[in-house]
Amino acid sequence: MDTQFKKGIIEVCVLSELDKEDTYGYKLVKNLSQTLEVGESTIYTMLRRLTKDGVLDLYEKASSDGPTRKYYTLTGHGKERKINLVNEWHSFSVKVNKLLGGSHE
Amino acid sequence: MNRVEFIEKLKSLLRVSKEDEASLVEEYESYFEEAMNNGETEEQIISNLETPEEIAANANEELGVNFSKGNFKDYVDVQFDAVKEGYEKVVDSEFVSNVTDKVEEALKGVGETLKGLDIESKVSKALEKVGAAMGKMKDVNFEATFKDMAMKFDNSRVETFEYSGPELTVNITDENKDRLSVEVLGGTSNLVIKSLPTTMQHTLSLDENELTVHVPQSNIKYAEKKRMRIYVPNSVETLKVNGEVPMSIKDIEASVVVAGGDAPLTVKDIEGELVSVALGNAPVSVKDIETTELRVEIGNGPVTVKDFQAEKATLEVGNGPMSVKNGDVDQLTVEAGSGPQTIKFMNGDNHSYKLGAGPKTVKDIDVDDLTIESSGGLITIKDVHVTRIAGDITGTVKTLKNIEAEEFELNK
Repeated sequence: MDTQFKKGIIEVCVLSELDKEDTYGYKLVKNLSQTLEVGESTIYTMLRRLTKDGVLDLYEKASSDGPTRKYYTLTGHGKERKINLVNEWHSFSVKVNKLLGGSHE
Repeated sequence: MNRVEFIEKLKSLLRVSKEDEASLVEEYESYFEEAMNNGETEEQIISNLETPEEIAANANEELGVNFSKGNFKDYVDVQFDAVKEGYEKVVDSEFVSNVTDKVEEALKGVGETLKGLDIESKVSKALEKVGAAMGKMKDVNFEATFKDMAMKFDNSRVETFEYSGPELTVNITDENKDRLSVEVLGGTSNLVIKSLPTTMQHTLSLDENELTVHVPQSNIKYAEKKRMRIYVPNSVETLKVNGEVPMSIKDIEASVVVAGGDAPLTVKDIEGELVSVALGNAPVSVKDIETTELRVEIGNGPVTVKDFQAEKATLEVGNGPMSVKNGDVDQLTVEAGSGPQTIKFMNGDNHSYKLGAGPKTVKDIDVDDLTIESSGGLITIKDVHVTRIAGDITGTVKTLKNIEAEEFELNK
């Protein structure tokens, strides 16, 4: 699969996961890397880039069973970006399904 | 490979900014901790993770700067252009911070990548300069437009403005004047004042063609030998500098008029219609001057004027050592008090030397008309080729030899 295309998909997934709930790097990697078949470094570097771009923010939270964890959360800008990307994805997949002769409209 | 080796290997391969590196390493450390809490061994974890090489390649591509021998110079050039651009056009904080990030990344990569390359030292020097410049460009927060210039500067560090008038006066006032030096340089299309180090506070006011830099005595925390640099815009035909601080004025293609107090002054490499220097009691060095008119007026202080060319020159010096040499001047008038004085290797038409008490030497003079007035002290005159030599000498003539003159009217 084209790398840029894949990265785009991963970004939508990362943002969607974080829209459901704030979470920490390890958990996000575990949730996404198997489903999407990507190495953890792709997700870690993406988290870093999105943080630098102001899409994500970080805060610390103590866990009951282990170390203090850094949680990622969507910023206002991040929430907007997520909505836009998800809309784009839907409209894109509708078109692709149409082309492929699928029934999804 | 164990956990520590894994992390160290990763760090050594990353070509990203310090912040990016710290963030990635922290995530991987957390990964190890979380997985070990779930019962995995270091060995299992490492086999599940990508290799440090894969991680670094990914991170360097996404976050870092790729250097190769070929494109590195271009990259540095881009950084320089960005810095220059920062000076030359109105900059905003975001622009500056973007450029700063890029330069930091460049600095991060240079150490490892350039080892052993012949351009290493050149580039690292260049980067030092970029880094220094960038450090001073942070926090740009002020912008004002004046009648004939646009000015912008940050809260204390770099100020630039475009100036298009034919005359510019720079006043430097410092309440603790023995601590600040000012260097004025020509050559760019902007005027830039850099005051070092960064902790130094000063205020600027700009009105029409006058720029005043005021450094209060308080808050001055800077080491010796730091200078304030002023780049003179090309459009300036006459630069006037008034200051009570040590000043160095160099490489200017314009008329230069300097007025100062008792602090040392160097004026060098000037090409302009007029070069005028007026100071109190201070060491003064004027050299490499090409002008129509040169005026030097100094109180008591060691004065050196050398390597100069002028149609007309007037040197008035109080008591103190004076050395005038290698001059090519049509009309030269020298008037000096008591002090050891030397005038040698001079060419021209009409020269008049009026010298006070004290030992003095006049030597290697090749002019049409030479007048020497000497009152008291020892005088040596030799190797003189003139049409006419005249004047009155009181005091002792130590040496008078090798004088070639069609008319000899020297009374002694």
